[in-house]
Order: sequence, then C-alpha cells, then structure tokens
Amino acid sequence: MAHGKDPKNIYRTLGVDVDAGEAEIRKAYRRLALKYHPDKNQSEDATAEFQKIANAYEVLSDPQRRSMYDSTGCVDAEELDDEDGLLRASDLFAAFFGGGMAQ
Amino acid sequence: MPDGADDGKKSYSMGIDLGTTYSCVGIFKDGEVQIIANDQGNRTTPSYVAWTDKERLLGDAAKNQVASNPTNTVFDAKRLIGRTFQDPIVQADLKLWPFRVVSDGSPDDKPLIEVMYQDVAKKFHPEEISSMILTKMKLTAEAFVGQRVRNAVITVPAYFNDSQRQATKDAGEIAGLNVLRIVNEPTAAAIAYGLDTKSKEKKTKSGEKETNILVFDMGGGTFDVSILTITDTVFEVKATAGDPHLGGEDFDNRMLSYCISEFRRKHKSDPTRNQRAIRRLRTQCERAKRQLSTQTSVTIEVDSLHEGQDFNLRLSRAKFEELCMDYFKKAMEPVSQCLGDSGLPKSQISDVVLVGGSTRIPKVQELISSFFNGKQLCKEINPDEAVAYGAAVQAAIVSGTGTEEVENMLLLDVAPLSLGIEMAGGMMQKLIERNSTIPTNKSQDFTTAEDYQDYVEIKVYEGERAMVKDNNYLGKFVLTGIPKTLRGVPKIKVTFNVDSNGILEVTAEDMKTHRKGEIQITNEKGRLSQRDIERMLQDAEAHKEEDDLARGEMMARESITVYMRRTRKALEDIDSEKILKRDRERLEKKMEEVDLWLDEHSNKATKEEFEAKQRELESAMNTIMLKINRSESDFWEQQAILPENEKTIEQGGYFLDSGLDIRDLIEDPD
Repeated sequence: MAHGKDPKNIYRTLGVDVDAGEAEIRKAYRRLALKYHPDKNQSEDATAEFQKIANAYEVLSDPQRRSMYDSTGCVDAEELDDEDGLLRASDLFAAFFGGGMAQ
Repeated sequence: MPDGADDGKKSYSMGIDLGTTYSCVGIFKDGEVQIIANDQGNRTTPSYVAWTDKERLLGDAAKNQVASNPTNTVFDAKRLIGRTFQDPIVQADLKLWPFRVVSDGSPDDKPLIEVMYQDVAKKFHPEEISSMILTKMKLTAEAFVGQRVRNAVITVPAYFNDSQRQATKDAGEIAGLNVLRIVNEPTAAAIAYGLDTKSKEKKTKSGEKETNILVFDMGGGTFDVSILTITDTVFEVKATAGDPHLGGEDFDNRMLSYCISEFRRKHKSDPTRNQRAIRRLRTQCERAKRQLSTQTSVTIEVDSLHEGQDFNLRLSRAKFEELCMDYFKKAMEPVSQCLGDSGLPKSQISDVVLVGGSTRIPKVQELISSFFNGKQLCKEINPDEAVAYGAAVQAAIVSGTGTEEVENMLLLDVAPLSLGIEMAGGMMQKLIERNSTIPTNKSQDFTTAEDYQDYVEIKVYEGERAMVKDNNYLGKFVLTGIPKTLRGVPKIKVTFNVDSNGILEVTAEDMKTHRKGEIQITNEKGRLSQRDIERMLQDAEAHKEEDDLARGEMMARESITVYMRRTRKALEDIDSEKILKRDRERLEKKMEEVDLWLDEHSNKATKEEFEAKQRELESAMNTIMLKINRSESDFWEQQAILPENEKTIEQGGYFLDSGLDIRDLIEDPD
C-alpha cells in the first residue's frame, strides 16, 4: 500500500488500496460497518471506530472529495481553504462573537 | 435461544408504526414478524383518543363515536408533536380540527389540546396523546404474547426534525416504554421489502448483490422518500427527503372544502360551524377517496347533514385528481431531490417501493411511474403494515431477540437535515451535513472574545438554507463556567453528536483544563423537561387505574348481559316438560327485574353491583337447575357456558360482544 498517498490513512481505515475501485470501497465499508456499528459491537469504542470508518467512506465514496484528497491530502473544502491561508468559516463565527479561534 | 428475560421466559420487543391517522404494531415471534390485530380484530388502529362522560376511549372505540362527540375526540397528534403553537402549520391545521388547541402560555409556546372530561377541562401535550396511542398498541402486543412488553422501536417520518423525534421518544417514555430506537419509516419499510425479496430469491442467491431502491412513503399525514442500497445483510440509506406535512388528510380536506362549497351553493346555508355535520361529511369524504382508488366515480351521501338538508354529490376520479393535483405534483419534488442527493441516476434504481395508504391513489402511482420513464412499481409489500413489520425486525435486531438471519442484518440510516450554528451576518455554518450516516459527530473549537469572559452562547439550527432565519431554530446553548482569563486563551471544544435515533446532543469540554463538569450547557430547546415527563408518566399511571376501573365495570356489565342472553336462549330451547311452569315463570320474572335494573343502572353501577346482580340471577338459576335431571343439567351447563358461535379462549375467542378483549384483564406477569 502506498502510504505516501494516504496522508490521513483513510484508505487504510477502510483497509483498501489507494487505487481500489468504487465497488471494492463499498464492500470494505459494509464489512467494517457490520463489525463496528454500535448495534453490532458492544465495546465502548465501537461508536468512535464506526464514525471513523463512516467518515473515511464519506470521502472515498464521493468521486470529487476522493480526488481532492488524492491530490491535496485534504478531506473537505474547508480544510483546503485553511491550508491556502483563506479565512476559515469558524473564524467568521468567532468574529460574530467578537473573538478569535484558539488553534 | 437468545436470553432476554430473567425468569426464563423469552422477553419480546415490539415495533410500533405510530401513524398520523392509523397505527400498527408488530412483534418478532417464532422466527417471523407477526402484525397484531387489536381487540376489534383490526391490524391497524386509528390514532384516536376520546373522552366521554364516563371513560377514556382509545383506537377504534374512539373513532367510532367521533360524530357524536367531536370536540372531545382527539386525532392528528402527530401533526402537532414537536411544533410550537404559532407554527404556521399548526395555525392552519387547527382551523380544521373540531377539538380545541391552545398555547401553554410559556415562552416555549407549546400547543396543548383541551378536552372536557367529567365536566372539567383537561389539557394535554401532544406527547401525552401519542403516549395513549402507544399504550393501546402496547396492550395489543401484550394480549398477543400473553406477557408484558416494554421494549419498543417506534417509527417516525424520515423527514421529522430533531424536536419531533425527541418529542416522539418522550411520548414513548410517558407510555412507560423502553424506547430502543426511533427508526425512520421508509427505512423500516425497506427492511420489509428486503426480507420479502430475499425470501423469494433464496434459490438464486449468489454472492453479494447490490440493489438500489427508492421507497415512496405517503401516509395519512406525512410523506417521505428514501433511497437505499441493499445487499445481503446491510441496508444503507443513501439519501432521504420529504414533506412532514403532506398526506391523505390533505386530500380529505380538499374534498371536504369542495363538498362544503357545493352544499352552500345548493342550499344557501353554511354547515362550517356545525361540528357534527363537518365530521360526518369528512368521514364520507375519506371513504369516497378510498373508493376512488378502485372506482372511477362515487356518490357522497349524508342524510340530514345540516338544517335538515341531505347532502348528495356524485364525484368522479378525474374531479378528485383535479382537486388534489397540486399536492400530487408537490410530492414529486422530494423524489427528484432525493435522487440528486443519492448521486444515482434514475436508471440505477431497480425498484420503486410504495408504502402508506395514499400510494393506492392511481394518479400518484401514475406520476411516479412516469417520473421513472414508465417503470413498473413494486406493490408487493402491504402498504399499511410494512413500516410496523420493519420496525419489529429492527426491534429484534437491536434487542437480539430475532433469528440468526435477522440478527446479522444492519441498518445504516442518515440524518435528514443539516445541523449548524449561526455565525457572522446570520449565516448558517453547517457542522453536520444532511444525509450523514448516523451515529455521527463533528467538533468545533471555540474561544472567548473578551478578557475574563466566562461564557459563550451558541445558537443551533437545522435546515439547508444559507441564512439561519430561513432554517429551523433548535435552541441556544450557553457554555458557562469558563475559567476567567485573557481572551483567546480558553479553548472549548463543542461536539455535535447525532445518535442512532437521529437526535442531536451537544457536549462541550474545556480543552485547557479538561474540566467537562465546569461547563454547563443550558438546553433551551422547546422540549419537555425530564420533570414534565415524569409528571406525565405519573398522570398516565393514574389514568391507567381509572381505565382499569372503567374496564372492570365494562367487563362486569358485559358479563351479566351475556349471562342474561344465554339464560334466555336456554329457556327457549329447553323442553317444556323438563321445567316446571312455576320455575320458568319465576326465572322469567327475575330476568325481567334484572333487565329493568340494568336499564336504570347500567351507566352508573360499580363492578361490585353488577357482580352482585349477576350472583342473584345465578342463584335463581341454580335452584332450578338442581330440579332438572343430570343429563339436562349438562345441557344447561353447555348453554350457560358455551353457546354456539362463541369460541372458548383456547379457540381464540377473546372478544366479548362489546369488542372488549378479556385478555386485557390478564394480569402482568411481573
């Protein structure tokens, strides 16, 4: 597996290769969901683990977001804006309350 | 067998489809789902509650007396639940309801339903009305399995918002239920479809096959569309859309308005203020609507509707379609949106599944079919029962009380609406996007704006519009107890968490001190407080005693009436030589006396008085029986215990003439 191309390990979260096809990604997601969904897994960490899997799938099942991740390592537009030094939406929120973000 | 109960008896979990107009309950038992008939033998129960001078009525009993008691017969609680009194939808609906709805006068502006019960005005939250219907469904399930059932999955429209879901869950708690899960109606229906298809395809099953389906769920009051991808065991919702206020009742209302205008035109008088007339006309409109799904024209007839004038109108299917066409067309918008959200082209939808009574309307079917370029629609599953069926399966999955096949299944549902916060300029910043798979959570860091500021206020909204004013305000969360320091120093992590029920919870943590307890979140969502719920639960328990008392009386009254009828029949049938004329006369006299007593006391006598009267009759009867020879006494016994056309309990004859179910009296095992 080419880890260099998976900076946030989201392919690895789903246990698939970076060039995995759509069907393979869906299949991997379902297999892991059956294992970690809190309805199926009583352990305390199950919900968090499932959410990690679901978040990875959310990116990789959307062709646009997947290609963004593949080329920039960012999982959504907000993160991409942030890296480009643009104003973050959350700064706007803080500005509304007259404050700044603590990062 | 999965271990579910401590006394060695298997415990059951039920699935309840709590509908706007009708409700349905199912239970997973002996390896399959059973949809349970109520004490009237009906598999769906009207979502009606009524108060008469003497008692509270639920379900069919409530709906059957609606014309004679319109102001104290409550329905449509689902159209009120989780809404404020000033909500435009509530304001529009209450013009059509014969019962009174008022505001609770608090800043939350909750609606209250007001009825007269024993000359006292009583007010109920919509949650309480729903809890009464849930109680009725629970009793139905308990009668079927012969033991107490507390665990329940309750369904809601997929497009129900946070407040409506929370309020439905509260209704379950008020009914004394342990609400395992709030499940989306179209998702539940998809389970029914999936299991049905699977059982048919068993022989050809090969590997992991993916099927995309669209569920079109239009019931009495709400409308949902969901697209799911189904494989062998996983039901994954891709997208959902809908209208939480569109359904059969809207069509009834259109017909009703039309009928009223026709009556006005013909008779130059207005029945609008005549509650009873309106109710009778509405009932006939609902019936006509159903008939128009199979007939091309119907006659709506009501004798002496208003001021002695009869109502008589011939209505064609075409006219009905014309009256409701804007609604039908409106229903296609969510279909289009859902498809767009799912990212699937029309051609990838292999089945369109119809659920809910309103999908029987030919025009609705025609519009969906033509949307999918003339596609054949799936009408295999029962549109009235599919949701309860799926809910019962989900109850078995969650509680581990199903078969292996069922317990291997997994439902992946989504949040129907985006959740976010208000930011500069009244803009909405989404934290959780609609159609996110649940359970899900997203976090955001906050800090202070001023030196020594010790609280932050966050306003939470749900909806898709860019400006918060166009979205639904959920509440304000105030984080207090932030350690006083220079601005920008505190770091407070606020987490939005949507649980498996689609209900939002907000938590906050001071990341510098990691003191969660120091931060207090004031939840100002207009929902019932835990104290409200506890009080209502107590009220409901008290009501249950009242109901039990009323039920006791009804049972006793029923018992003596049945005994009288059987004795009368026996007297007719017995050979005149076997009984002395004097005895016969004595018995007839006694019966006459009891008849008179019943006429006079039947509405006010207590259970004990009924029983005493019955004992008097029995002893008169027994004296005579002793005089009749043994074989004849067998005959008497048979007549007295089991006349023809009435079954023993073992044969399933649970219902007395009044429709009362004798199993209702069976004590809870615990």
